[in-house]
Amino acid sequence: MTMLDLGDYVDDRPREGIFRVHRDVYSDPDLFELELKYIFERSWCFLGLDVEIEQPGDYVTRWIARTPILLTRASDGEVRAFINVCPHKGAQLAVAHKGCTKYHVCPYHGWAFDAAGQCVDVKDKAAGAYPSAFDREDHNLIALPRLASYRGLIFGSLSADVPSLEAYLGDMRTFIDLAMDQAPDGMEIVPGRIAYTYRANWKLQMDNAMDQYHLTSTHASYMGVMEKRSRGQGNVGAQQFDWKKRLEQECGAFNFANGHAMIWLNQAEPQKRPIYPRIGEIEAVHGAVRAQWMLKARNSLIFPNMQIADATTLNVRTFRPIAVDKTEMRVHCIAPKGESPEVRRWRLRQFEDFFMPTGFASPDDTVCFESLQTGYNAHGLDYLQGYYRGIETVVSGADGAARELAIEPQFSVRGGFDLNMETSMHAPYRQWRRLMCAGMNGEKVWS
Amino acid sequence: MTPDERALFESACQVVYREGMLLDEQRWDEWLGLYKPDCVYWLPMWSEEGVLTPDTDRALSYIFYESRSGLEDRVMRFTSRRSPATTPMPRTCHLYSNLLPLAPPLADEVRLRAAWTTQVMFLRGNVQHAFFGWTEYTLHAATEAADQAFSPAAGWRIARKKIVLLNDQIPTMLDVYCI
Repeated sequence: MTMLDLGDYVDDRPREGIFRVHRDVYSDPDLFELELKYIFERSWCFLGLDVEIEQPGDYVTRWIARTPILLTRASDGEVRAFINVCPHKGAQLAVAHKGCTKYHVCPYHGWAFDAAGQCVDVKDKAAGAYPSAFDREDHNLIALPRLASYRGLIFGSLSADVPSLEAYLGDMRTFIDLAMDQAPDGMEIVPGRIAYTYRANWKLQMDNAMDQYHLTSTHASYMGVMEKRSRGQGNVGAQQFDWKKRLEQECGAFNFANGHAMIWLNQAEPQKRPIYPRIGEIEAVHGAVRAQWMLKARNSLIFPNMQIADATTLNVRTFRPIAVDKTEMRVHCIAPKGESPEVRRWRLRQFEDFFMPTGFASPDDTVCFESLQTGYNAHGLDYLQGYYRGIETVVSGADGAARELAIEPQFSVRGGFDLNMETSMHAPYRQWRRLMCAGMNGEKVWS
Repeated sequence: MTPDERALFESACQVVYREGMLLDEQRWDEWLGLYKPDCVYWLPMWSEEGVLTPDTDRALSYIFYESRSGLEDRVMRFTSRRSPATTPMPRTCHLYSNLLPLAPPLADEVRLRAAWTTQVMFLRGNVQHAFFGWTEYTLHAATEAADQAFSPAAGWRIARKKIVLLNDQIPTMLDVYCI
């Protein structure tokens, strides 16, 4: 078992200006098991988008950590989510990534279920000489204890003991709005299934999107390519942002309850946003302030398994912990319905240029996660020092930027780009500590 | 195939093999020289198990370029020594098989298909991976004298390359030298 008291893995002493996380948090297999139990299986987790399952019978297969989930639309039009295993012997029921079917039939013994999870056939039931005890068993699929959606984003919880989704998200909802309000007719998913793995802990991806500090070093080669493109050479068709121009911009961050956080950066090149041609329409509906916020670079973390990345081209990412040192990433590129073909092409090329295991930026991040994971085995390393930048600028509650949006974060941070704050990792690790300690001590988290 | 067609096809096949060699030997400028400046380079994505993303205008691709400049940017990035993903540079071995014409070979255009596998040794972390799939090539006869002199690849240039990656659960990263 682990060496420290669970509460000591996150050394959080705000009055002394100390925030440190122990390296074992990323590398100890025992802690990883506890994370699955006390974090992923006791929190709202993002499952998918409403638009992925528009018709009755449509389904997608997803995961909450180690539990396979079947997310489907029943014949009554309602979204349902089930543990994606047959209650007979426990085989995984639906195996395709997505599909449309009236019935799910278990490949092993042929039990069949409808999209509402009802068992409609126990194969050869009549001849089975079943005792009456069998009939008293529930043969239906196990429904997720909690299922809810906000703005078309569907979340589920394996524990019934969670607050309402709205209360869980709190003012993070504003940043979901800023993603989902980018189109008058709503958002859709761009076809293409992006799945990749990396050999490192899930929280390294979580941290990375809240980390501006790595840009100029990790992505130096990318900035070199951008510099070439700014001279009109290379693949200028991607209409990519010139990141150098970002280094002069004001940035900030908000941390919320329940582990959510976001970072923002003023936009040096709003005309490079694929929504820019229609920004007037967006302004007319949502107002100038929100339209301006949509143009800013924003990365949002919805603890524990989801990011809305809109610092370059809008996308939704989920991370699934497979082992303490292995993570699966899924990325959904979402875009306005009814976007013109020219703008859609631009969006696609801009997205492909930056993201994915084949892009110009993501692989440099992912490889650094693996390098960190190697480092976490090092003898003599204990607490890490990557959570300090920006602490002296922390403002309790809302700052001016938060007031513009009428949100009430737990704390706000603001400064020049070179502040490169690391403070947006505080909220998720505070939630980590809270959930882990509550789980270990058998306490209720949500009251 | 007629003897003339077979000769055309076989000379075009040399481009496939030569591309693999140039990538394996990291002779990037010569590799870029195999491509026409207005080439199409396309690595589509799978939208579900049995279906590739069909349309670069409406669906995502892993890589889609309508000119050689995108490939040039990639070479610039991974030879910069400032990209952690490619430092140190992975070693590769490209193998091709089942080369078949997709249309009757012409003097100025050959279309062919090849199955491939690329063994990659990622030196950081000492991990190995084999990517595999098939690729469709459209080759055009090189027209410029300078082009013809540049390489002994029988005067062919790659006008279009569509790579179908079959093992698309990508471990960590993939770049043009992996396929």
